Amino acid sequence: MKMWIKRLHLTNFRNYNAAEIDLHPKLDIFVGHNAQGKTNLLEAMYILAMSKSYRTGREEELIFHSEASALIRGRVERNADVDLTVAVSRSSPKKLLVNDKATNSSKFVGRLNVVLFTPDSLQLIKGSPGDRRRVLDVQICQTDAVYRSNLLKYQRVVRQRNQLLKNAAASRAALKQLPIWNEQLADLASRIMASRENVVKRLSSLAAEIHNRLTGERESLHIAYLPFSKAHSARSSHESSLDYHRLMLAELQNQHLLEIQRGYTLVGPHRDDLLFTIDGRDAKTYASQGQQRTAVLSYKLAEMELMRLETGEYPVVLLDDVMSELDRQRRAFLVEILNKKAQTIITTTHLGSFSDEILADAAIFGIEAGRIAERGNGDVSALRQ
Amino acid sequence: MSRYPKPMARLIEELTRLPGIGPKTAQRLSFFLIGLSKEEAHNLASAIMEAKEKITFCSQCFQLTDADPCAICADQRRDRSIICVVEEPKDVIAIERTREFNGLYHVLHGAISPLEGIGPDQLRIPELMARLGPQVQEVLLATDPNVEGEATAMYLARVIKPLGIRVTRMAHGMPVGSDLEYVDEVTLGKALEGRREL
Ligand SMILES: Nc1ncnc2c1ncn2[C@@H]1O[C@H](COP(=O)(O)OP(=O)(O)O)[C@@H](O)[C@H]1O
Ligand SMILES: [Mg+2]
Ligand SMILES: [Zn+2]
Repeated sequence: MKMWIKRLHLTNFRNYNAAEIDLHPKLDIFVGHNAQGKTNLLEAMYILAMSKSYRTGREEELIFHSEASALIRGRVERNADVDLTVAVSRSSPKKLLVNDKATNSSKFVGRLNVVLFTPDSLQLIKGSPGDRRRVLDVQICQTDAVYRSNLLKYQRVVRQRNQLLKNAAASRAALKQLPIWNEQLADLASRIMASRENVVKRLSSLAAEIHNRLTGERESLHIAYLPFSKAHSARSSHESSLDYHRLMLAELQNQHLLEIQRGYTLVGPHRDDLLFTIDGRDAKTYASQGQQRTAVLSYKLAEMELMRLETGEYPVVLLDDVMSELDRQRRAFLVEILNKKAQTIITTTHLGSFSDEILADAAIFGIEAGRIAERGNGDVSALRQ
Repeated sequence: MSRYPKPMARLIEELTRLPGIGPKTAQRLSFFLIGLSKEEAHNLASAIMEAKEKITFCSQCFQLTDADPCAICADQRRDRSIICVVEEPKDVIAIERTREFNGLYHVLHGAISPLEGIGPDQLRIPELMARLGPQVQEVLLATDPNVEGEATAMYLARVIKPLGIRVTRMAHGMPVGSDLEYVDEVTLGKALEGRREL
């Protein structure tokens, strides 16, 4: 089983005035020069999944210059078909609709699941802990509404608590209120950490198996969850939120003076990280660029598998500009997704090395200045150049 | 906006001050308002003035009222041994709709939120503490089920429990991130019934 986007409708979104496309359930390839709207299109699909963009926090940017509002509508075919709408306006708050009924983000997110792979995805290994947490959270939030709610609450508690710690610099009296935030912090943190540990464990074993296949059994990949507290990560794994709760309380005590000195929260999963190792060595430091790329491919495939295990349906795979050169590993990656029959949406500047076999069962679209046109097979040879 | 005649521009400007009203809505409303008959316009204006002049806060529970003490505080049939603490006046109305609660209320007028500069002293918490005489046996904390509401409940539990008064919290199972106001009556009734000890 899988879910797929059957139809997408954009109105004044980014550089699209009006675009309406019917998609192929298996493979959709969007071909266009730079700055024509390829990434914008994938961004629209991502927004239907997550209710917000991964590219910007300023939502007015999503609205076509000089227009008042933007509309993204998609029909998702899955166990229970669903129409999703996101409306962004310059003058009123964003609206989310499921089957044309207004709803909040906790009921909206999860209707469509996506795995996003862009040139930036390499940051998963090369980037900061924050980059890794973001990727992990986006994945878990799509299939676990309770996790998402806990995470949003947790982030709010951290902001409130940071304000208190900041206030404490001027007046120590502010510290009297710290305990009432600590309780919530520890409670939410321990739930988040137990979920993360569990998900990473499963991701790691899926990714290891896939990585083995992609590298012809030459490399072994391992992903470990690194809780914020170094003292803790040295110990053996603890999957119960009770353990993490105890850890939080202990660390809150240990770091108390330092937190006051720094004026912000030092303790908690907003400082977690993931560790990628290839053959037992830290991939960030020791792996070649090529090895890192392959590890990211493995991770993305593992994400796809895990989402299917969670929901019973494969998510939609969004590949932005990462398939132009199909080397051996990327071809194997693509074939693996296609074999699973997940809907795959690819943007590329040229059809280059896509084989006739792959193109035979696909829809091919040209994108030019915010206009999308489906191409027949006759056009394909022209688009290859 | 300067293209409108002065009185119209002023009306739009005043309407824009209302919560949730942007310039566009304010324009639309002001066109509606000047389309009213003189009598209708007068009724609206005098309703605003009357509410402003007659509505005050109850000096005991801080609910909105036109008589002090309010109808609930004055009602001798209500159970004086239990006080239900809420954030906003509208929460009292939501709980009254369930008909599941027969005690008294206390309206805090907000929740603890360092980001907004609101601590216990900016709320009606000192006034609540002053009400906790020997006849009060239970304080039911019905602040919103979000992080600020939880923090406020936690704070109150910490200061009230040492007085030997039973402190309870509305049951969970309310929609995540919901305002009391929007929780339906059945759910809210159940949450009141299934309150837990803090
Ligand atoms: N709000 C907007 N209104 C109009 N055009 C926009 C808006 N946001 C981005 N664009 C345009 O979209 C184009 C970039 O599209 P993008 O999808 O990133 O290109 P690519 O095809 O290279 O992936 C740029 O020409 C940019 O000016
Ligand atoms: Mg692009
Ligand atoms: Zn009263």
